[in-house]
Amino acid sequence: MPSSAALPQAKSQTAFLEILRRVRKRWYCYVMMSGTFVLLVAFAYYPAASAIYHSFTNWDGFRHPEWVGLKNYRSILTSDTIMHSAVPNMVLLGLWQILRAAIFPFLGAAMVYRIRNEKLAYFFRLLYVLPIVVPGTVFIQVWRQLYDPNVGLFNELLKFVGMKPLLFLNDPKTALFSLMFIGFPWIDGVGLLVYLAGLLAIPREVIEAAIVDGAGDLRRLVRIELPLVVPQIRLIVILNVINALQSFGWQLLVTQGGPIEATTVPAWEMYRAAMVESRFGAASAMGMLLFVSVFLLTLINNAAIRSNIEYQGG
Amino acid sequence: MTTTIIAPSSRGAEKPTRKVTRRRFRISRDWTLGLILGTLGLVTFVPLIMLFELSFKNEQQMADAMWLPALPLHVGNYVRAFSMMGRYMVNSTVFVVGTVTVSIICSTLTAYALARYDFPGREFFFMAILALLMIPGILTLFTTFIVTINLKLNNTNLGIWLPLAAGAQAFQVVVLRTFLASIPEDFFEAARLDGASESQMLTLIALPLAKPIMTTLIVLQVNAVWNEFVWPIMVLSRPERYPATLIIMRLGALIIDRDLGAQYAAYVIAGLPILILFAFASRSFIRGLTSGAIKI
Repeated sequence: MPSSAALPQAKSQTAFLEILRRVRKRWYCYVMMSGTFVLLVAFAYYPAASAIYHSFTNWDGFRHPEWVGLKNYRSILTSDTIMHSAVPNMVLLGLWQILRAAIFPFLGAAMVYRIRNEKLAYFFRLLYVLPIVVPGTVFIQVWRQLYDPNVGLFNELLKFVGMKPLLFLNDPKTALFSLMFIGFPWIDGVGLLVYLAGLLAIPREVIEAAIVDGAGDLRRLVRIELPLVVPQIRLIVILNVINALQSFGWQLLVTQGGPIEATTVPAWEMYRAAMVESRFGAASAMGMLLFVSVFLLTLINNAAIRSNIEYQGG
Repeated sequence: MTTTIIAPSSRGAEKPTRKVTRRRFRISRDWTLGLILGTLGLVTFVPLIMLFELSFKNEQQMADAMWLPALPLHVGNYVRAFSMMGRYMVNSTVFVVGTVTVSIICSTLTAYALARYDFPGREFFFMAILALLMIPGILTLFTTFIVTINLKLNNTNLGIWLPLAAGAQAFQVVVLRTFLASIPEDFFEAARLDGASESQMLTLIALPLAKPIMTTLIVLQVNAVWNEFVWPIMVLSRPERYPATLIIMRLGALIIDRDLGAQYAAYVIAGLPILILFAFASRSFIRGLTSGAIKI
């Protein structure tokens, strides 16, 4: 064991020995972390570095890649499919997803928060969280059935009230809005619980003081509760930004981005480039652009929605 | 309007007449809110109610009136669906158990080391994990796929377990580290005086205290892996290895041998294990999320 009583050495060397001594003392810490870091090196750090490097190449995934500089980026930024269909679709779907995730669970949480009967309040928490047990693919299949132009529930209802049936996901004009309507009335259970946690953390005296001052329900909601759940809003916005930019489940399983590019998004174009056309270099460049977008939006979100309250949530 | 002002501020001792006013007010207000929330909840559940109802119908009943309930109930749909889904349910279970085991063991050990010990490079390792939270999964999705192919892990269990466990490390480590760091040092000091070894402090002190938060993380991950379909589509080329939630997409696309009733029953069955898990864990899961126990 290297002791401090060793011969006087250069300062840097003693510092080095000191570190070595501490490493040897806590050797088991590195052993404990080894599992995580083996996983991360193989399936996170290396793939990330590989994606950054290969975004500048014409890699097909297997053969030796050739350096092509910014060509992949240039062809993405000049592609009609991406710039005129996929990006606008993503912006629209993303903004809507963020808005609805911020608003509707909050309104739901505010209502649950006002219920005084504890059993009833718990029942509603459970009721709104329960749909998370439905697998994504089952959810997709059921909604697809509801939208079915021939036997779907929505067309049956339209016929019932005497309106013309619609093609929904099969019509370029209605496909995107059909995707946006999915999940109505959009009270996401996890979001509701996150907001409820924020509301329950508001000191009782604050609410009571407002009520004594004659603040009605709406005033209380907008002036007191909304400002005090800003940390939760920020969390939900961040999570949904990340999710909105990279989700392509409906495109992969149902629409394939169609009809005629009506529902395509960059993440789906990326999947096609990689898995259908073996253009891994181009897909990596698209991944880089999405990564930069997520990063910038997160920074903007952090700067725009400021709060002095401790940052916590689900 | 007067009741609005009196009611919530009236706490503690008060005259019986006021109490009566308050109670009546409370009940009517709860009723209104309950009615709104109940209606919206019902609308949320309409697609699932429809699915449940379809799963008991035969094709004739569907042709007569697709969305209206019909008698008799065809329970046979479920019998046929179970025999179709059996092997895929096993596949899903193997994926979930393997991924969660690998993931939770790795993340717990790492989080514990980062939270309780001071060692050279601790900050560096933690930042390296924290940085991953900023990288969207889609950036690394396709290069991870190539790594998996190169390691010859496609069409294997490890090809599902390891990449999915890696994907969950950052979130789990950060959440667990925050929690473990909040355990007062006194607990460990007391154990040390009683002669506990370092490993006993992990198993006898830290883990029991972390049980609620680990339950929440496990429930979240079981749910996520059971529902995962993008990664299995990419690395599994043989449908007989598909998880249950993926095979139902194929049932929906079948043209010949189509068995609609059993197909809807299969959708219900694919969600059953998560429903059962939730029935056991919902209380601590809801508590965990509502108390803000999960912090980043």
